[in-house]
Amino acid sequence: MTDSISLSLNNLTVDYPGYKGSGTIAVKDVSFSIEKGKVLGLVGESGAGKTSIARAITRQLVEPGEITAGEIIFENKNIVSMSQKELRKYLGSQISLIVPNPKSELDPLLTIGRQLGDVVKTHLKLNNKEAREAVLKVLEAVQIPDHNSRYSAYPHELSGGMAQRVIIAMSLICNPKFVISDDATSGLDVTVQREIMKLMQNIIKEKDLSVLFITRDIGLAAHFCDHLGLLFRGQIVEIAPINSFFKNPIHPYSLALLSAFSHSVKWRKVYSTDPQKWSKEFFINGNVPDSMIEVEKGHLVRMIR
Amino acid sequence: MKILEVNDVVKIFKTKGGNVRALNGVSLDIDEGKTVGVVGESGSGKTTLGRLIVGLINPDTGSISFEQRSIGSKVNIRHPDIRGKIQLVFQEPSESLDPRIKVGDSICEPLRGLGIEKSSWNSKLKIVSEKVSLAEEQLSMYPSQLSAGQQQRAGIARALITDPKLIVLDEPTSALDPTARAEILSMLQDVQKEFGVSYIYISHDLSTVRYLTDETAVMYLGEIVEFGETSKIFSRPSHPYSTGLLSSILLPDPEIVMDESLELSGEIPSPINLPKGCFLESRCPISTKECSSHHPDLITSDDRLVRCFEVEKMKDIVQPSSKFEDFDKSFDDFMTKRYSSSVQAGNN
Repeated sequence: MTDSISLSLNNLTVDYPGYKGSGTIAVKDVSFSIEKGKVLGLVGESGAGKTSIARAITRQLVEPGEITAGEIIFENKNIVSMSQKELRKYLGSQISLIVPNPKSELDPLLTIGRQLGDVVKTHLKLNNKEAREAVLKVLEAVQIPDHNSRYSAYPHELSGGMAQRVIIAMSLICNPKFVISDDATSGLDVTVQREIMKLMQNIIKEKDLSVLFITRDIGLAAHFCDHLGLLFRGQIVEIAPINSFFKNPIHPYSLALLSAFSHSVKWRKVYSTDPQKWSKEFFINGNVPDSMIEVEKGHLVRMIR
Repeated sequence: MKILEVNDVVKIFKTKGGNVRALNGVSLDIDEGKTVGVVGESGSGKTTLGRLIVGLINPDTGSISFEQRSIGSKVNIRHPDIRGKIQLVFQEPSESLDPRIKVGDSICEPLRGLGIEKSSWNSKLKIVSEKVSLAEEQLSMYPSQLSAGQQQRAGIARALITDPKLIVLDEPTSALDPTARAEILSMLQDVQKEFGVSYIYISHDLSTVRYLTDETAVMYLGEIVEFGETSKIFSRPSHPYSTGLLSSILLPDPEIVMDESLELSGEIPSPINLPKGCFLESRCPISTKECSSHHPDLITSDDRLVRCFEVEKMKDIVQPSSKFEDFDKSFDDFMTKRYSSSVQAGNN
């Protein structure tokens, strides 16, 4: 069983301590596992803790954020307790992160080829010639037209869609096993988004990647993921295989989000994102329950009976 | 009655790298109390059109008239007859409010320019803040103390306070979370019902356009490629670009897959070197020789305007579809069932 799991989070908690002790718990007791070759979608609104999870997995939490409890197991190794030296072997080569705003991520003074080449030279210890070959190959794989001349292009010469392809290329160039996509297509136009998503789908299949797909768009997640988890104020409130979720969403937050996407005024009045208005099995004594109940195989809902 | 008429406007921005042809002859009318959606990708000229309409920039050629008065360099948004009647709501709510002025004062600011007596400001503020559901204590907060959704409500309240006839909404919800977005949109609908204001809704988010607008103009590289009733365009688009845009919509149901028989490839060309023929030719799946040598005109085809040589062929390829209505209905059915069962469970 454990052999088929690529990455799992066990009771992960991320805390941003405040000056006077009253900190913010951005991620609270989050557990999930992602099977090899599968895509887990993590959907939530701003402030739900999506990016904190992504950054916790890569151990790149913004100060003063820290992992205060739980473990992150990647191929039977706990990332949380790794030394920086050990960690460096994994990041970039085994686990990579695709970020939004591709242009702010690329160095404006270096060519695309140089930036991608540096990655493989560092992680895979390739020489210049090998690095160039690897870069051209990956640029071709992400379908950048005329990749031979784009090799020496600077980031400002690329459109948003092309720059995002370069970021995807950069995350794939070392043949990672696990990719985190943090709202990777949110800044793109819809037609470009669709092309990028298709490209990612093909690459995931071809390279048998495992993916944590973080997004605000439940519509996008519906068409791209195998599993779906809904994150609300740092906690997972519902997690299920994609078909099970859409056939039978249970948590009021899930229903509220779906109603918002469907622009259904009627149902938005019934289901609110305000926990005070949830019924008592989902919110009791001013808290969401600590326990999750399995309503169907693999379909967990944060509630009490 | 027509409240706004845009007539064949052209706008060219001169830059170092060449002339950016932002708008290449756009015409658009809007009736009182109606909403026209303007959709297209970045670089299609949506925002430039919005800025021309409110008079922030002037067209190179062509004309815009508001309530039969021409807007241009002499009569613009600052002219006493027009001032306050056309308003603009911006994309980034936080950037449109002064961080050092209390929200309530920001909302009242346009009244100063209109020369309205201060004694009546409070009653006006009360009406609009109720309309956008901002609580009284929020009016005495600073913008940074509000959420993005609340900031956008303040932005809309500020537009409403001058009693405008037309509001240009430039991507008002793209910076917001889905639930905040849905709330703002239904609030805009309520406001329109009550005040009879017209909207021009500029967006690249097609699912919100379907929800909010009566008519839709699909723009590509500074020109309208399709114009018609929103429901008709969504059920059967006539231009390959509209088809491409619509097939990119992802409804929150994994079983509803969009028709992808007409797929656009590549990206929007540069508005500096516009193609000689049809602007979409390089990305269009059904383009012919004629498309690369001649530029199509916007012609009437059945119930709408379309700019495509192959409009007859499109009718064969794209069959009417009720996907969106079906989705609405199945979602409603599902929720009705789910709700009645949860109520029953609650009783037990």
